[in-house]
Amino acid sequence: MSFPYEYIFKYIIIGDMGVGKSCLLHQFTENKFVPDSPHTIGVEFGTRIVDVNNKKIKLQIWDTAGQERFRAVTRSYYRGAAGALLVYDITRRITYNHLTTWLTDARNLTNPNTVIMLIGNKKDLEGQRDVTYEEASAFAKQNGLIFVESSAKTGENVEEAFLRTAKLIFQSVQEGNVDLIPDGGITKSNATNTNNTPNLGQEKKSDCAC
Amino acid sequence: MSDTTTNNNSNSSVTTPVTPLVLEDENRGVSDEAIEASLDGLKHNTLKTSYTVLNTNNPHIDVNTQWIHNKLKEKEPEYTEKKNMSIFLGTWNVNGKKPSEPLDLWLKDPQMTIQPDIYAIGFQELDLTAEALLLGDTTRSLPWEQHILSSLQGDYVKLLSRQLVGILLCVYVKREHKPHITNAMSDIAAVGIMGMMGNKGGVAIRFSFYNTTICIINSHLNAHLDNVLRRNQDMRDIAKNIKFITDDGKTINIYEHDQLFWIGDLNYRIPLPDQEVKDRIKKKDFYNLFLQDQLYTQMKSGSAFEGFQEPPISFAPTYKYDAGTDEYDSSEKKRTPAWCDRVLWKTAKTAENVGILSYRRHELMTSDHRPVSASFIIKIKIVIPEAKSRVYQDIVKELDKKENDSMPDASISSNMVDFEEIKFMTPVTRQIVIENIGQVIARFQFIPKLDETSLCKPWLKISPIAGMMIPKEKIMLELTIYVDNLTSQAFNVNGESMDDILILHLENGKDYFISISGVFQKTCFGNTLENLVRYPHPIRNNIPIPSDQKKLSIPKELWRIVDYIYYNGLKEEGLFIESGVTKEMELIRDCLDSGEPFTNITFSIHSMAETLIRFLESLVEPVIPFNMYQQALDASSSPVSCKTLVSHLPAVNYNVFFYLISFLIEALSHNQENKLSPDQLAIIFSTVFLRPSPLSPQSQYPPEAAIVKKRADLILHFLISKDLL
Repeated sequence: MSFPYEYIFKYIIIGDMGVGKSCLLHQFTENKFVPDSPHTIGVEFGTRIVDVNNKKIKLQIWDTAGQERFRAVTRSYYRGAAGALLVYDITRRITYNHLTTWLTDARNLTNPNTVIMLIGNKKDLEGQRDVTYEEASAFAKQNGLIFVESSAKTGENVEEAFLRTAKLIFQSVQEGNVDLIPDGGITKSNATNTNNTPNLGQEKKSDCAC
Repeated sequence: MSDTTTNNNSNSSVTTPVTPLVLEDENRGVSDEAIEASLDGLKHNTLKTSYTVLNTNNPHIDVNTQWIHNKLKEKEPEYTEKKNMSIFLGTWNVNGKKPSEPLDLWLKDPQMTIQPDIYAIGFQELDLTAEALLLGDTTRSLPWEQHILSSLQGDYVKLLSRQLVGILLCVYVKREHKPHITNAMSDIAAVGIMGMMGNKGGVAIRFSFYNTTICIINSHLNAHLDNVLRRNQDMRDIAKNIKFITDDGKTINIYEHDQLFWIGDLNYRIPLPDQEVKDRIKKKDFYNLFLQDQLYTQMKSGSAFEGFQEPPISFAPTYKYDAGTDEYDSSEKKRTPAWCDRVLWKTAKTAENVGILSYRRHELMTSDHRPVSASFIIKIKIVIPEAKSRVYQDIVKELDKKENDSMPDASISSNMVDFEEIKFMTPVTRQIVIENIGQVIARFQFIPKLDETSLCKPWLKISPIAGMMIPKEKIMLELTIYVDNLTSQAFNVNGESMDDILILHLENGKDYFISISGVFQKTCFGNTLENLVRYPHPIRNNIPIPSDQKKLSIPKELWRIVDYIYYNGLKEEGLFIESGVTKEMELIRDCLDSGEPFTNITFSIHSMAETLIRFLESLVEPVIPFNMYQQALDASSSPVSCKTLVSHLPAVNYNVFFYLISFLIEALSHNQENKLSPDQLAIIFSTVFLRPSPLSPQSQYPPEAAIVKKRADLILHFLISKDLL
């Protein structure tokens, strides 16, 4: 008999405020879409077990706040991500224009093997499109990213985005490009790390000055 | 490191960069291949056992797996379709004979209307030699198996056969079904001589046929009319001792199958006089004869084969014949005819019962037994892979959802705490409320930001920094900003803005960011002399002199205080001795910072005098800088050394020192009125002119008397010998 998962992959979802990061997470983990959901002020967290090449993999997804003022703080959550979903809103060019800074952060703060996926969200709002598929696709190609357009509202391509990233990470693991280190965002399931405990910062507890 | 060593790659410290992950076939979705791969994965249960071993000591994993497995089983009807399949079970005691006639009459009975999907063929007494019994020789089975295959022809393939001395069980399936058979296993149980030899006993074969589990037992129980209880016991021993061990170490017994068949020479007899039996057989009165059958009576009383069923018998007893003839035993022993050879079945409660197609004997005459067969229809559950993967996905999602729901959740009353205006040394507290809105206990704690060790800026205090809430419980968190002369430098001198972001972390859950902001009222207090002389205008106007221009010689605020006392209070009795009024001192501070004249406010001269002392005390670095503290103590015994020391002060500090000492000397000249003595002033002002760095060990304890005296002496030298300056 199998057991639920063999690997844990850590994902982060980043991008401007209001591009639909939390909605993507909720659509993926709970198949639900909450219109007008409040802005994430902090970091939310969801998990789902998926199958990649017959291996069960637990995705541990960290959904970060998009506001500029939290940028410095959210950076601390990038560390050890195996996958980064870089999200923009196809109906708001400004969110697309900011991709370069997000990407710079992602590249600087994750390791070279981190799989970064570009997601153009709100595909359902075709009439208000502000960024063409071709343009974003070219940007992705230039920067070595995989790219997909999705809709957190209809669910279109949401599953695919997460699974495709997982597949590439897994491929990377199999090819030996990635070391399995506890802090590396890719963890082999075993007794020490089976629950979904985000433990960022907890090890620093003893240093609290206040 | 222990958890990484399971991976072969983990010992290579060099990692090669990932090749660019651009896929050529960028369409507007994900490739079919990717979807297929993920769906493939959902076809379940194909993980290597080595990983399972790795996790056997982890109850968390086992529980989850079990849950998924059980749910999947529960929902089986949602992803399986039922199909009728037939199984043929044959049993023949061949009495040690070798095959001498084709088996078609038995296995390919012309009356048979459908081709069975499964053949299970059992023999007893296949081999009566001592070699077989003692050495486990099984070569005698080969000619029989060849005969079976030639009878079944090319349509069937052998699944498995198992032999215990003379007891042989072979299972054949239609070629098309072979790929759908999994977990085929066999076992034996001997109950013969000494209760352990294989002359009597049973062999069993089990397998999964599509999604239906089938187990077949072929047994040869102890003989003779009187041995009923022994046969009952044989049956129970065989049932108990046959066990199948799966790949992952699980044990399955014979009753844990959808369909269980028991065939063989069960050796139960008919306890009636020989002639009576034969007469009834002649009359084909099988019904009344059967009522006397030992197996029937034992089963009826629940003494053996509990829960088993047998198709109705409508054929003559199959034992004992004179071999090669249609005559019952004509030897001296004159064995009474009996239905020794039987086929029974038992369907699990959770499965659908079988349908009987036939139960008959066959006229093969090689042995002293006639072969018997029974055919059944079995409803086979066939998995629809797409449906199963959908159901599986739903189950896993449900589990994920539960897991996500069981994560703690909380709401906080505000993510933005604006303290608005903050004044020096004036604590301001704001409250936020955190409420547990999840379904489990929530533990929270503030955590530091990346690469930081403290939870927040030094001017902020959080209380409590950690806590626990049961569902629906609320906890009030107090945030207090207090800027003292240790923390004021950041705003007064370095021009930092007053803001911070706190991370409130829920154990096993999300993090909340709380933005803190405030506007610090710049003040001359908690400042540095060096900085203050750059501000000719009120400090709140925030217009410093450009760095290349001449600065003030002393802070103008110091001048304003001293000037005021000089004109209004020099003769006041108790000057610098009596306390000021806090509220008045705050007003004075405001005037100093805003540039407002003192005439707009009312206060006593003592409040102004104390303001002077507080001002000096609040300086980030005192008039005698920290790095000269020890030298100053050392110099205090000698006026000349003191003079030298002071001459080495930085320019602004020297100006301030000179200015204040001159002022104090002036004050002492009015000692008739104000009653001040040089000793008093030296004591008072030495503590603010001269103090150890707050980071130094000396600052941790109140100074010793000797130190206090040394400090005072330093000032005293200047107060009593005017030419020292």
